[in-house]
Amino acid sequence: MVKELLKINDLKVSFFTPAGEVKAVNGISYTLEPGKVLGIVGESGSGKSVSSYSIMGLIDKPGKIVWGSITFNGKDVSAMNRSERLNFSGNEVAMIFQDPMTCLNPVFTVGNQLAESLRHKYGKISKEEVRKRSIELLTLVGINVPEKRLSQYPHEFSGGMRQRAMIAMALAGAPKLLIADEPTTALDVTIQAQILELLKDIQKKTGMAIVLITHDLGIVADMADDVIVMYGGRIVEQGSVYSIFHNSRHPYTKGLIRSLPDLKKRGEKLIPIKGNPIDLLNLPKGCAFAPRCESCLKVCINHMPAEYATEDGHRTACWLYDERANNSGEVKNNG
Amino acid sequence: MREMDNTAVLENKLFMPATESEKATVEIMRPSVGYWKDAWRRLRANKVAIGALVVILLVLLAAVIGPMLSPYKYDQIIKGSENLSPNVQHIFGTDSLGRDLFTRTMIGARISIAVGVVAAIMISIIGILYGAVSGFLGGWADIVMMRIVDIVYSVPTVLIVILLQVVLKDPIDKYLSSANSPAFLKGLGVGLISIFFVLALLYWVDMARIVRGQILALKEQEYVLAAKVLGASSRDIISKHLIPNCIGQIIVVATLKIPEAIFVESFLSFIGLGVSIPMASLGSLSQAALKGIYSYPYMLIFPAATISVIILSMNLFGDGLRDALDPRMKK
Amino acid sequence: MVNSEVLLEVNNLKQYFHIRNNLGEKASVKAVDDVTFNIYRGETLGLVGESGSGKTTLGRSILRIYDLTDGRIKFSGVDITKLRKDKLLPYRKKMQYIFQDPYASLDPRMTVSDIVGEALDIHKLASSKKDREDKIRDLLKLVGLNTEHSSRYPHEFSGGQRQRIGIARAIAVEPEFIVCDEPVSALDVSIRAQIINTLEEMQERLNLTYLFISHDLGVVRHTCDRVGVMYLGHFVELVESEELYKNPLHPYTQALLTAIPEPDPEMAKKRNRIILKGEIPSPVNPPSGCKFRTRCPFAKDLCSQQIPEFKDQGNGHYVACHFTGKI
Repeated sequence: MVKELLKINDLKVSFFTPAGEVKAVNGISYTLEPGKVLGIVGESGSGKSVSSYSIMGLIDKPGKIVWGSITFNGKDVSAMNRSERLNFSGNEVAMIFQDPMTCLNPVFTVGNQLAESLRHKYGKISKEEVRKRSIELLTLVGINVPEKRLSQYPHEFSGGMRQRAMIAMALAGAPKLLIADEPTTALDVTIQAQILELLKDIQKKTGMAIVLITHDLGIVADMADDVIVMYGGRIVEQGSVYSIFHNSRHPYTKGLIRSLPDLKKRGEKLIPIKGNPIDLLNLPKGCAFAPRCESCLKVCINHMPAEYATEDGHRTACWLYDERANNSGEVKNNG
Repeated sequence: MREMDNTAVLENKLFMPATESEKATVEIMRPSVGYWKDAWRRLRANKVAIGALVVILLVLLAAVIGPMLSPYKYDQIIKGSENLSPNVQHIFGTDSLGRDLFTRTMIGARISIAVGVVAAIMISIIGILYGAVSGFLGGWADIVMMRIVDIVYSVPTVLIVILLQVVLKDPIDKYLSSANSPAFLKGLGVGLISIFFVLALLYWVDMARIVRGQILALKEQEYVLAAKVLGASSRDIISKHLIPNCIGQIIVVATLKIPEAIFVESFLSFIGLGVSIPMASLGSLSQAALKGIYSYPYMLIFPAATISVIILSMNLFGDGLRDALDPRMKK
Repeated sequence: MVNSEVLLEVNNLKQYFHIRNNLGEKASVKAVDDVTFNIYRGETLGLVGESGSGKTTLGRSILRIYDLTDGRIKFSGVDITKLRKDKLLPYRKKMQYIFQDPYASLDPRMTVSDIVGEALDIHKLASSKKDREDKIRDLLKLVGLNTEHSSRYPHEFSGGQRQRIGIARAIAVEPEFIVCDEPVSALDVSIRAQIINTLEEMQERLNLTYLFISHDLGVVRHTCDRVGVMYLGHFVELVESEELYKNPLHPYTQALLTAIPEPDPEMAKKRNRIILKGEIPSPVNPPSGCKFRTRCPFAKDLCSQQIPEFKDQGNGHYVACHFTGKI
């Protein structure tokens, strides 16, 4: 067994708003091995982004990690001192976002910003060295004429180029883990295809692990080794990408895959998931998906489901997989 | 597993399919919270603003019923009671002619507040119309209209008041002495009427600018486009969609205009351009007190303090209102 | 095809916008440049393309939201290109728009019943107050909303519910034709299918014709009878949707189709993607000749010299490419 790179245990993150406590992440646990790509899928409000922001220590007031631990390479992230923390974010873990302008400073040249990231990693290195490595990085992310691009400002870059520049900055610290938060959501399909290919390519070359946060099942199917499906701040299902897509067990995952129009032809009705997205201020006592679930049991309404695992490590938080659900004569709908 | 311990105690019958009504119990829409209700909740949470509101209401109450409760009239000269310090009969003392200062200060506050409120209403009407038209039309009309605003902005107030008083004195006097002029206008006098003119002519520009800026941003909104696609007229778009969506800012600006107008009125009255005797305003009271400032400082302190309290509390309340009505504007 | 009656005829439509660049020089953005096509009654015509392809502008131009630069639009045989405001009003009733962003397209200060009621008021479709209320209730029910919530404000609803309100507003005036501008792309994945179903239901019940704008080829494949692919203000391909997916002729369409992420791990990992170079050029300064040539893997000299004709390859398969059939 490979030693895990990232281990999250019972993480709970809440936002304390005037309207009440918003439990954005409500007790999630997972591990990630080095060099793997983990896809986290969920819709808005599922907690997929917040859970990853907490790894980077990006939860600001009124948000707070109220419970749980994050361990990276065997070290507890919350127990790190200032210098360890500085080294950790950037050099061990880096993050890319949907909007590249959250990372790029409009008043500095791209070369300037790359140099800063490189110095953060390697300390005092010569100007020539910085330039050489910057050009290497820009070439790696597929930016043409990097020598010229170094002296340009972010606004002179197009959308796809900015995304590439941001990836280059993330790679400057040679991180072991890259967290990508909806990295292609704002991009057009043809540019999305370019960036996804680029990420795959870099992953192969550097062997870093990637946590890929997205709402697009197609991207997950394409990129991920393992998949976590989140709903209402909890993990409802996790497993390998094959078992999630071909053998999904949770009614939410099943519903999502079934509702995609891609597999259906014109004229056939889509099979949607009923109901409305959850209200995080008003989370149900039991399973968050219960009101929308077609196979909802009485127990689901007031009791948080336990996790049920199969031998291949596929875990599902759903009462349908309790022995008693079978004994009571409920026929499971595997449709 | 963490939850395993307590799941064992669940009864078997719970593992039956739930009915629709059982599922529905979980999904309840939160009670409706309207815009005003939400704004009121935010305002209530702001202790400074609520304190200011209480002070404003107290001053208003005193200004409205204070003079009625007082045994003296504001222009009643009590022979032998000149220049009295504050005492039981005259809690603010009396002035050099023997008039009760408490009554006069309250009457002055009444005039000042009335000037502020009326001016704010006039400013709002002119400013909203001008700003909405300018912002909605855009293009050249907007450029021309905004340059006019810039010009009005640069005109010195005092100069205009003096000019207006000279120019308006005759026509207003003529109008006031004619039989069909309303009685309340007569009480105001040329000075106060020209102050209203000045406020209406010069102080609407801020309102116009803010409304115009809002309209410019709002008219690009998709719901305005949706109304256009439905075939709504420009008038309907302005009155049903654009103005209601900047009403919060309009209220805030109007509220902050009240103390500004009060200040202008007091200042102009103080330099002798405001209300005519025997009518009192807080500014003219302060001015009258100047002559005896070393012997009778209380004559200045009471009206001056009243001006300060009114303006300060109005400003504090206006700021609170801004935070409550338009949380995005909060810095 | 559902019907061969032409509902909307678009001829040589051009929509340019005049802007100033950052040096203050005048320039024009050719958002839609010489587009000709028909929409038949009862069909759903899909419009796909990347941002900057002009698909939204085209949808809005057809509804006469902008003044056309050039070209002609006929609705049921009537030329509506130059109609003035009052003459256009009856056509406003016949043609409606459903917006992408359900948050921006509903007035935050109006209740749901006022939003839907406004449509009824403008075209005087309610005979009395009671009739107005009844009609609003029926419309809300029709699009699947709880009628008890009609006095609530838009912010109290989820994205999917808000999109339903937008649909109710559009169908309130009993239109014949609706432009659906990315109606599901701002919604959560689990809600999209609901809204697509609602739109299809409305089409069936009310005999609507749709122009369905989307960048999501999966959604388009499911909803549309015919699909037009746009690139930099031009149509590059227009054909029945099944044919488009089976037999794409334009290299841009081919690349688009392989770029859609496939929600199946085996297919996704096996598949051969065509990765296009670069990004869509600026419509202020488009390439000469074929607009796609700067990114086309098959571009030759001819492509930079001559604009390819948008012509029928037989059986109504329109393509604009010099090398159709040779790629």
